[in-house]
Amino acid sequence: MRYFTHLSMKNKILHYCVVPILIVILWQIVSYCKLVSPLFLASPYEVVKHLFQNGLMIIDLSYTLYRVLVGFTLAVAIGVPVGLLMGYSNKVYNSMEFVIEFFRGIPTTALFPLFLLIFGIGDGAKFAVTAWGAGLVILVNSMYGVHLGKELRIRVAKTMKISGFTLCRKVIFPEALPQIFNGLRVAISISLIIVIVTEMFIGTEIGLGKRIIDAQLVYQTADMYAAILMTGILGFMLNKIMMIFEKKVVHWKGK
Amino acid sequence: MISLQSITKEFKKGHDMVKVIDGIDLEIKKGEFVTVFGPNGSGKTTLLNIVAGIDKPTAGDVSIDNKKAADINVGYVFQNYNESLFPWKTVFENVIFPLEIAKIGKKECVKIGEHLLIKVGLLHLKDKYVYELSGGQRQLVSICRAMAQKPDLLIMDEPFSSLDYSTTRKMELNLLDVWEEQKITTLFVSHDIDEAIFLADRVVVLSPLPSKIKKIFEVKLPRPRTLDMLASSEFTQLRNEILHTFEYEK
Repeated sequence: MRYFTHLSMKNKILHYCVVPILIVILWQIVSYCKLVSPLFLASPYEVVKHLFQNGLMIIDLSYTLYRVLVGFTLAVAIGVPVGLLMGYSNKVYNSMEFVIEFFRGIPTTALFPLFLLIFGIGDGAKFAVTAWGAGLVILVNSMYGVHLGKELRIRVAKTMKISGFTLCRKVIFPEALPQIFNGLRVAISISLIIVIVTEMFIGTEIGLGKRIIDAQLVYQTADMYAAILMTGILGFMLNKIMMIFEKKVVHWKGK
Repeated sequence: MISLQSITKEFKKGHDMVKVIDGIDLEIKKGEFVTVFGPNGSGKTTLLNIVAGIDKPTAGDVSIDNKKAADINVGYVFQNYNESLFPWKTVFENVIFPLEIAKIGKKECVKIGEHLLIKVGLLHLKDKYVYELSGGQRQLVSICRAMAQKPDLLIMDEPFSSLDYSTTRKMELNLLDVWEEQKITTLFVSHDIDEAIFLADRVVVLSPLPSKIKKIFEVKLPRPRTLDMLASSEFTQLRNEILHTFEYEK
């Protein structure tokens, strides 16, 4: 409890801020003294100005977020049930294991050209490739969730004559949830990576990835940094929201 | 009445078959409390699993009032309460879980669940999660859960062996209190001789592997049992007899 007293709370916030502030100060010094050409490094002030002045950034941000969320949702919708099934049934596991392991070995971005061929250059290919990359992570974690579940709880359920779908829904699924959430947290970050990369590629005029690559091509360094910073904030927020959600849902984890 | 007829169980170990249980015959009367006392690794848990219908015997048969083992309604209390309770459910939800599965109405669930929790003195914790409780309290929750559905047979596998001495004694009194009210036929495995005598109507002493029944002792202490009986001459004498059988008789 001592960590939550007023003084320590203040201390904690101080510890939290000190390194970021130092980095910004260092950045300001370097750019002010022109130690690095302004062509490559804009000043923090310039970057922040671009972040707020340019009204279009919020549109890029919302498009990127929209793509992440659609891809991620598809990944959950497919990854969780298939993963649970693979964890539960040895037959399904044996027949799928090799395929899954093989596809996991291919970097998702290597498949993007293929997805472009199949789904066209619009958002469809982006959703699909994001769902693919994030879905595999979720699938594997859901599967392990079942495997790592406590044998004894299944036996408890059996003494109560529970089986089949009820067993899955009432015991195996909640038992796998902590591990599923490990997968979800990794998957949301992967979704953002894939969306940013695919936006740089082809087929869109809007999105943070597109903005970063465009700004870089014409040496609008401040705008590029601003878009990168925005992406960082987005990634940080997505991860934080996921963690809060996880704490709420799998409150028993680690207890 | 529950009857075990020449239960035998063999496991494959490498190329050999290892006999774990070697022809156990036992009849448990309705409402009786039977404890099984035996050395560690004597196949006690295997025997319980066979009675519960989780495991199948190599030979022999379990039946209750002519029902087959698979249809017997059992309540099972495991030694490891942490891994047998559901951490995602509250105390109350854990207790009524078997009732929920049996599709029993909400009102009835509340009535049964609250009654059991009052009986073991945990009603004030009903909305807590099990990880917020102490070890002893958690095991009481799993006892309530096992009793909620009024099972034909309550099976307990060394339920108190990870608790300290005074908690164990308190739990035994708690258990007997609920048991005397519910009159549920109980099969209780223990490696603590005091516990085995204190709780039981009869104590079954098992041999080391392969398990056979060495002898069955009747406990004539009156009920309700009280802790001072642990020091009575009747208790001590029976304890000595059982230990003698356990150590020396083949």
